[in-house]
Amino acid sequence: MLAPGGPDINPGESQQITIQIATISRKGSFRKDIYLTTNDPDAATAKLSIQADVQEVIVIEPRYINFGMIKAGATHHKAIQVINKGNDPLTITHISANPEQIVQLVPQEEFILAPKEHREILLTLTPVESKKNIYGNLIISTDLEYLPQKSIRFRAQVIPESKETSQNTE
Amino acid sequence: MLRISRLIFAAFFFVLLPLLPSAFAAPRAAIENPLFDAGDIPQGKKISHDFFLKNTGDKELTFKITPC
Repeated sequence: MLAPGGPDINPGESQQITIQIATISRKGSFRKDIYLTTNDPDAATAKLSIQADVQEVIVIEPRYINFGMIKAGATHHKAIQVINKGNDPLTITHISANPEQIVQLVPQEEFILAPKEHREILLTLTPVESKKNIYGNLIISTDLEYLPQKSIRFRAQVIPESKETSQNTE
Repeated sequence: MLRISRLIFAAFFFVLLPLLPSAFAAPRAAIENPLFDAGDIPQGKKISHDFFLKNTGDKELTFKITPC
């Protein structure tokens, strides 16, 4: 948001107030109200509103990955879908994940998704015993100027090889 | 007595009356189109809009955006 306050406005004059709203973490319809306090005795508070309908162009499903309890030293997979919900072809320029040492991704190279097309990405986790909990990010890079990256988070709880897992993640 | 009344009236007319408008002067905040509908926006694209706050009163208007 810009213009947090301004100089005094003389009678008959106007002041421009620029409001900017990021939509990276929004989807669907929303309305944002911004309040101004003034010294107008009859309107001490004024409201500016911006509404929009945010359309997701890239959808990553699932939106959050929980591997659950997984055994150290073993390999665990999760499939992720990347969907182009836009009306134009979309280039996925790069896919990466962290922590890099224990995560592999297929594919990693650039590919193009036609409108409404989707593609599967396989996320493979090979945890080491030293880490009890793993928190990571899968980052999808695109050719969109306004959305160069989109990411989802994943987590896992690593148990020693000898213990039973409570969830089958293969 | 009549003379005193006339003096009071004259004082009111020439001294106090010109002060009345400034005593009642006040700023007035007017926003043209306070609601902006950006329509369909692709996720990630920043919404930017200029609002205009006009002072339609006859005294300086001050304003502050309340943090939200």
